[in-house]
Amino acid sequence: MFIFPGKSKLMTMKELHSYPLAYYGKGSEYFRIQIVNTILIILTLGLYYPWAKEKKLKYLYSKTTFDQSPFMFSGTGKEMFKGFIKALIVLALMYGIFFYFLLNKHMVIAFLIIYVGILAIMPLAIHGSYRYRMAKTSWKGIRFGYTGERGKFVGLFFKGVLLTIATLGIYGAWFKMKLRRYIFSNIKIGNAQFTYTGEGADYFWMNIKGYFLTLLTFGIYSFWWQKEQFDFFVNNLRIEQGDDAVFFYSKATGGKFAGLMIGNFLIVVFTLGLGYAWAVTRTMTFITNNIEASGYYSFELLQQSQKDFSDATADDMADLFDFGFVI
Amino acid sequence: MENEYVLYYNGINAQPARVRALISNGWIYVYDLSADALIQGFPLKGTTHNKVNALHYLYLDQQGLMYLEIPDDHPLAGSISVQVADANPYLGQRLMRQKTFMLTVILLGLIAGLYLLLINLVPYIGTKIIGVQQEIELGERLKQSMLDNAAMSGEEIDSAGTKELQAFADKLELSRQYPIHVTLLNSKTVNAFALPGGEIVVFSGIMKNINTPEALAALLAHESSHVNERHTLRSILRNGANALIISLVFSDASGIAGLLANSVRNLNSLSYSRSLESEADRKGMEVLLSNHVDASGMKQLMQALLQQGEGQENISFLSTHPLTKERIAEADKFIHNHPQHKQKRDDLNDIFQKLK
Repeated sequence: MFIFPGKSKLMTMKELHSYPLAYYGKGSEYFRIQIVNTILIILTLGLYYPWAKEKKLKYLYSKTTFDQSPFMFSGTGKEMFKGFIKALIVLALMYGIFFYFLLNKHMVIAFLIIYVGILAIMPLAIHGSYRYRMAKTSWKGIRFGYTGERGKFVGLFFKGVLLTIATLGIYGAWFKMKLRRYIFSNIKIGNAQFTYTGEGADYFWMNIKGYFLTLLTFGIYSFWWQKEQFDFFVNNLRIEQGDDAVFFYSKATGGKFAGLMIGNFLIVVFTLGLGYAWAVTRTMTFITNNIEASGYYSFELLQQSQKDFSDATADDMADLFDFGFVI
Repeated sequence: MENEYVLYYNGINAQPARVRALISNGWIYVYDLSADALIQGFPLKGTTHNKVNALHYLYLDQQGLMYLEIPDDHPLAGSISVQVADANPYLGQRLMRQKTFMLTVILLGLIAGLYLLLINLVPYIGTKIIGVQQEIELGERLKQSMLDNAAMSGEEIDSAGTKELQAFADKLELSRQYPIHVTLLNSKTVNAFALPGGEIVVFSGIMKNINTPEALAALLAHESSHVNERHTLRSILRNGANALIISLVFSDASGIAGLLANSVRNLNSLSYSRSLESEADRKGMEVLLSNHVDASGMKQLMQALLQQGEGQENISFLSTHPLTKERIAEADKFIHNHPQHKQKRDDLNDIFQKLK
């Protein structure tokens, strides 16, 4: 049906687009936000923390652009405060039971509770954290979403943990890639979806190579190892909608990584930690400048289709346990 | 006015429409460009403003899905950020308007104040809550775990020596509140330390360097003063408060900052321990005086350790308090200010000879 008109509709749609990523935040602005946050956290004896997190994330998101449009984080301190309290209660209960058994000299049960407890919370925290963060992230007014199923993710997680233990850690690389594939293949933006294709075996050999070369070069290779991990993340990621896709490419080099990390280290050390905001700014700039996206998909075709989700308990739990966000 | 359009994202798809926008009475109204019909009005309260790269973004709903993209040269652009800020007051808004330098000063002042408060309050309250009996029990438990650790690295208790050393200590009145228990441990380390509640551990390494009963009495008096002044308990509480503050302040920072904070803390606790050491020296000499022991034993002790210490590495007794020369000078001053009958205590000397 597209053959007869002089210019086929299909042909005009399938145009190669290139989408730049950029970070426009300034160290001095982020520094002010961090300082005011810290002052208020101290004055409120820590209760301000969720609002501080809101301010921080809103700033970082709003200064990051994809195809010249900024991201938006719409999570609120109030939501995160509720989640924070719930997460604290869970944590307090767990440690309460732990100390109860510890004081009654049931050392084994006490430590079992802590280990099993943390292990059980981990997948729930990661899963819920993605649900919350994605639902609160939007771009061009289109909401992101994470549509993984909790039961499946927890199952995947425990199977991976057991296999990793049974293989003395070797399976860890496959485990990590399985989780990453599951999470990222379940991330959507509107009606388009992310896909991650990194394989455990490739990841495993990359890390073996990185580890030994780092040892052999007395640590110097570690920057190139970092670059390879970054590449492995970025180059295996794409966005798909229908038959069209946008691919991500890394432009990072080991030398650039060395400059970033050594520079950040010096900034933080010589400012006694006060320069942290500038280190974050340099990192954000580095990441966005070194990711390129291009493909035949046009984001003008995005439709709102993900649901809202406002329970921040898991996100706060991940914070309290310091699990970190990206797998 | 016709060409002063802004882009409107409707939160349904990612294709913006050209619209006109008007702010009036705390509301912003979005009009269709062609038909001039009202699309929707939004209260400014609840909107969010962001400016990136010469473009203003005005998010109209709480979820940030509907928004306007306003170029910097549009008439609305000039005042939009102020209007949104006025309509959406938040905690810390006044702080955000301060100069960065001022903010840094406020923060550093606040941290310093909090630090000083906690660092003094926690040990104060702690020592009030923890009674003498509990302190003794704590000390015994700490001693046991330390001895277990020492045993693992091959350092055993010298039972016969411990008995003699205890007898030596019993000849002196070292503490009014606490029962002083001395333990002699076989070890090359040149050190001795006091635990809360009266437990004193002396390493055999330090005994080799002590040549007079007065110097040994000075060592025990010094350690007993740590016990009497509850120095160890206060240090434990103070370190706890320190760790708490540092984890609070740096919880957001990277590992490097944490590491740095840790070394600052160590340095700090070193200077704190120095002030405790000189207090223990002074109080120790007072104990010597009240026991009719020549207070210059303290000076002899330090000089002996200083001489032995040259070229040796494992003299912890000095390395934790490196300003030995200053301490000797202090001891000299004390002896000068407290004239005494230089007498020998034969009972101490007898036990001391057995120990040697």
